[in-house]
Amino acid sequence: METLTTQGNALRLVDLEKEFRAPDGGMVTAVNNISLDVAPGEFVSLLGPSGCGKTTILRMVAGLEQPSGGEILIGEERVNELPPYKRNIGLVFQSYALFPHKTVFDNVAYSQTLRRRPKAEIKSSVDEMLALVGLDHHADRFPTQLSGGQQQRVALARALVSDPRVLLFDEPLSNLDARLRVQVRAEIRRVHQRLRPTVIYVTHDQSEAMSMSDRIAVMSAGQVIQLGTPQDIYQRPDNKFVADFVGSANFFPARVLERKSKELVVEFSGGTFKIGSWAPGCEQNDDVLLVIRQEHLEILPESDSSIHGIIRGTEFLGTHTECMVEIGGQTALATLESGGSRTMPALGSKVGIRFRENRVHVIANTPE
Amino acid sequence: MIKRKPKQGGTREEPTTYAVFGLAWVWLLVLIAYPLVQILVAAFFVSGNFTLSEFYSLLETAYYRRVIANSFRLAAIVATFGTIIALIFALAVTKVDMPGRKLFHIVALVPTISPPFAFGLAVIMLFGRQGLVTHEILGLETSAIYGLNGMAVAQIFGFFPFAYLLLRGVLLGLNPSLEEAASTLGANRLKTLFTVTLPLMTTGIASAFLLLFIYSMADLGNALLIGGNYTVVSSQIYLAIIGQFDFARGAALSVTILFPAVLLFIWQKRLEQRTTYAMVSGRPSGSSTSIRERGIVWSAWAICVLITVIIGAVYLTILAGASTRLWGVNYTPTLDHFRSVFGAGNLGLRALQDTFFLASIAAVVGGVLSLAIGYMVQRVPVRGRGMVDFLSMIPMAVPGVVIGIAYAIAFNKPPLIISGTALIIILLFIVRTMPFGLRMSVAAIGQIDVAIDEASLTLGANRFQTFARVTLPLIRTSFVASIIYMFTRNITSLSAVIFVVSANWTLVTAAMLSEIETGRISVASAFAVVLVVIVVAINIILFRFIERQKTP
Repeated sequence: METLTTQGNALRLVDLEKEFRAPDGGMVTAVNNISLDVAPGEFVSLLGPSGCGKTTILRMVAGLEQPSGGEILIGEERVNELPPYKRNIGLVFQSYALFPHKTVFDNVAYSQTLRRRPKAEIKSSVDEMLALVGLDHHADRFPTQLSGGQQQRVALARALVSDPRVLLFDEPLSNLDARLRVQVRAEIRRVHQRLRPTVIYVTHDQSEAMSMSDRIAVMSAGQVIQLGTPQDIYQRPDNKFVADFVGSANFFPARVLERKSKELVVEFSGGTFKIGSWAPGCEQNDDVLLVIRQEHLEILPESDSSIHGIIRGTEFLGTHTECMVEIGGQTALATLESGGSRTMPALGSKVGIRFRENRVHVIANTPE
Repeated sequence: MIKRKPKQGGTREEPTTYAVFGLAWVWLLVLIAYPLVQILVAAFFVSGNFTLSEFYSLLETAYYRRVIANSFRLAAIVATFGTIIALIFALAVTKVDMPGRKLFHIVALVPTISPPFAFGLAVIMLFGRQGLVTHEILGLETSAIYGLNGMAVAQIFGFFPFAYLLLRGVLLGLNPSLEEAASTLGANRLKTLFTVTLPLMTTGIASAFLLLFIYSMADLGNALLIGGNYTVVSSQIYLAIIGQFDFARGAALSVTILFPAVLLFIWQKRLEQRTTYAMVSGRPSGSSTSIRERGIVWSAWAICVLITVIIGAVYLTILAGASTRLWGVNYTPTLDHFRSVFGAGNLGLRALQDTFFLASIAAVVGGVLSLAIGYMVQRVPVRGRGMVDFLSMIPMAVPGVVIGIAYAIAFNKPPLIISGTALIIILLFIVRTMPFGLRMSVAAIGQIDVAIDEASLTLGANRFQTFARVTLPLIRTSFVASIIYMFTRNITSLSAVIFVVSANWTLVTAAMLSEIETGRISVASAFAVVLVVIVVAINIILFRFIERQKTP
């Protein structure tokens, strides 16, 4: 197994920009001055809504689009001027993009035959790669004879076989159904841990990004809004966009009474709370937002809490029940754990609300 | 937030790619732009000075004014009736559940691949001075068919199949659920037709009308055969050049149909584009709403049978003419005319050999060129590729007569003297058919997901490797089809190449025309039969080939 020694190169994006000419003649900035350092072997996801520029970044790294400004460095080499076929990157497409007229084996072998390697070498490296993705028995099939998940694994093997310096994924799972998505996701992670290629993974699905990435760059309107580990992004979002896009969060307006070195004292709904986690820009007397994840907002009998709400809707989901609760004139999502003997609260009934202070995060309440 | 469709727009290309692109430009400028400019020069410059005198003298002469008006009147008549027939035929064949649908469709395809003046020839043989119907059966001595009526009939039935194919495409693209919705909302068939189907087809119908208008204006064969005293611009140009060697007059006349034809063409293309936008679903959705009402079925069937019989009669007449001794006088069966076509040392056999030789070379070279340019237009982000596409399409708009004399003028003098050679015929063939090849290759390449090209590029294949290893294998069926189609058009074309054939190189269609001009209708018919048989046979083989490719 000595051929399987992929170790990716570092990838650096410096002040990267991309403008497109819109059909009406004006210019649209798709990527706005983005800098990003990816360490060798690191798995970084670009996460954002469609149109945020994440795919454009990927295509610029691949050489399929030309940047309007800035630099792309792979290893220490500037690759801006290189055509895609000289960059030695791997790209896995949303549509798989397998060559329909070639067998699975020939698809994977494509880059190797272009390099005119000896037949025996090609065969052994392709076989190894197919074994790695669990498709060694399907080498002679054509892509149309495979399921979607299998096709995407072929695409993965095809991209990996040439030891790419950087491996790029463009929403590779979005054409698969939910169950397959989880399977192939695990596959990609396993292969990554095994071979350690440098990965840029574009997705709009937060669970994909969180389950696989070392770091996530949350993007919006051509800019990186927050870059950090999945835990950072989920538990300590910098602003409302990130908190809202990643996971389901409730926002409650509050006010900072006092800023201490280790905690923030805030006033909310008549009570004071000491919160240990906050984003930059929360100073004394500022209006802020408490970010409380749905799963951290518990529903109790009315008498057990000083904060009250009115049940406006319930949705039983098996593991738990999701409740829409009106609290102080705004609607929040809360969780009622299943199990025990608790009955479903009736619509319109008054309930108590509780959250733990160490599960709350504070962000600045800036108008959008 | 602007959602943009990813398109291949940003790869950096190597010098060799740009070189190929440069060659395409040279090709377009030398073989399309240069001759057309030369025809303008011939029309507007006398001994180096710009003048409109040739033009004025043309417009001041009542005769020429009438000729120009004739062209437009004929075109309007042909376009109107041709569109109506095509529309009825298309509606019947696609919507009505009747026996023989497939046969009707196939019969209607034959005129689109047969020599253009087959219909004129048949009309003369049936209704002319010595016509089977007029002279033999009715005992008349009339030449009433020569002129507007005869030309209109020949062109309507010769050209309506092109409009039919266009409208059929539009109808198949319409989402059947719209009509179903109308009928569930209480509209009957007629109401649905007029309130849903036809309004959705408006741009398609207008496009078909313009197409027929252009075809009629550009037609030379029928005009020469049965125009009689009703002279139109295309036949007048032919007379000016071939009869009087008056290139300036020919050029000035050309300009009078060149500009309208190009404008109509651009208009038609725009409509065609809008037609595709109007379609609710892009792919042919089949007509699930087959009409089964007896009254409609029978009347549609009767109309289709009538049209099919007319088309069939044309070819049977030509076959009869080719295999009887002397049309109009002696109807004894004979194979003499075929012998005089194939006989050793005869002009006919040589014309056939020349035609096949030149048409094959032109089809293969043209096919390869269309593919290369089509690939660039679709896939390679080079500035000016839209212009390349547009320029390559121009010969589709320019009437054959015009581009024919453009070639005769441009390549008969320095710096490029190639008149009288095989090369000029080949080049003219290629230029005339490349728009069709280009459209076919652009469509075929457009079917392939761009990501497949991009995958190849990122895997280390350059443009040429990607083209050879991925694109070409994926579109080989349609590549073969486009070469066959171009070959078919080459061997049946007349209006352009008639101006560049020579003693050294002659073509079947030109030989046919000269047989007709010397009154040897039967030999001309024999030529026509041979051509039609060959063309139909080739297309059947092609069809089989495509069918086999579909089911691997």
